[in-house]
Amino acid sequence: MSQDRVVVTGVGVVTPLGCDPEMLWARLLNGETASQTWPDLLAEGFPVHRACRVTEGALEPDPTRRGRALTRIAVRAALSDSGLSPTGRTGVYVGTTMGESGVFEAIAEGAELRIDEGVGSVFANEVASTLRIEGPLRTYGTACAAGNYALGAAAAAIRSGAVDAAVAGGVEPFSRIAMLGFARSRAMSPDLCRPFDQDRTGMQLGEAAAFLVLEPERQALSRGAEALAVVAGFGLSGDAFHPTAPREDGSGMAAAMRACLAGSRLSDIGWVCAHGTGTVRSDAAEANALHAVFGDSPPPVSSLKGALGHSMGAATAVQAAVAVLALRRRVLPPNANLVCVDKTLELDVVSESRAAPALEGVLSCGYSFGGLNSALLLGAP
Amino acid sequence: MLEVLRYELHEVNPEIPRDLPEDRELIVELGIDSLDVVEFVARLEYRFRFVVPTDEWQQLATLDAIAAYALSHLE
Repeated sequence: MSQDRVVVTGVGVVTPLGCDPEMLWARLLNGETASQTWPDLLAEGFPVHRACRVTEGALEPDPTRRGRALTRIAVRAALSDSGLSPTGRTGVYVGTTMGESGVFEAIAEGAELRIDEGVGSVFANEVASTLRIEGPLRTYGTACAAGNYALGAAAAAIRSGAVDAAVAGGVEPFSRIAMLGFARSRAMSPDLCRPFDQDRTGMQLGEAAAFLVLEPERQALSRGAEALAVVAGFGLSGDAFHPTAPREDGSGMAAAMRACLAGSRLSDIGWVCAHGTGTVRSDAAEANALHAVFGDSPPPVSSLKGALGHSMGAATAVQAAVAVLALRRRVLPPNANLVCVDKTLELDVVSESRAAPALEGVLSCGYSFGGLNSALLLGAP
Repeated sequence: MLEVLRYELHEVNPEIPRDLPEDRELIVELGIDSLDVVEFVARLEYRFRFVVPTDEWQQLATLDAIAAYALSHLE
């Protein structure tokens, strides 16, 4: 066992608000949202036509390969940022909800494709084959907590000595199956996603890929790489409750947060990058969980989902990337689209970008259908 | 119409009683699982060939409201 800390040395993102961390950060601080109405969804008769999709960058035009393209761009950017040369002891850890869902959609329309082209493991395979990474490959299909699962597993593998470094994160190409499924389950907002707002009307679908390079601090120092953040904690729990609804009291979410924060001082947590999907129930349960863990005055909270939509398996990976940026600059990005905060939640929701000169720790949370709860703690190096 | 609605709701989940009061909110007051209500309305959409837009969904809280909606949207 290595007692070395696990640090983040590289960040790569592909999001609806930019494919470069600096661009993404600037637009998040502006309070921008990528939400828009899409003519193709309107023409195809989807009940909800708004979503946040990636529009910039030279994306693969074939929708059955879109997720692999997002993955390649984000992983290459993360490795370039880190300066790490992957070896046979570099692991690849990927979280995703739907996998390469364009493949399933094409097959449903009669295309002659192999169904295993669509499963989640294609992303790690793509990274391995195109970037010649020869270490272990792991895929987590743990829905909207999958990015955190991948990051936590990668950090644990580094700590155990199983790998020397890891590329870890999540990817979710835009999914028509999810677009219809969430609309039919009445979980989607017909206009904007407004997490923690008193008039919130639901979630909005996004797409993204985000990957971090993780390695032991000593190795990073010895090769002259800068530690951008420390992976300081990780916690998981299961609600064992309902196919979609969270426990109303947030007790499952709180259990994941407590497991993540064990050994840390609560006063070091200066920002919660919340799951905050903008549904009535999920936001309320998350507020209950934060009060259960932090008491009367939880740290400031923002959700990125008003700005970026919900990129499911990629969402917590994007949050981790933004948490690293926030720790570097000691600024909290706002909770986009907030008009009137829901006072019953009793949370300090960040309505405009806010300086946080003493920011030492960011708690990034993601919960999924089926009650999979996850929390990741990133600290200043 | 109310009889049809009660039948469809019971088909979604046989544990839901057939004698629910029509003027109480299904989810908030009667504690019906929200996923069951979603499936229930989806079955009505299929049966009566109408589509409930997302921004009108929140108003369909009681059996009375759903019956009125269905009657006014019959082809």
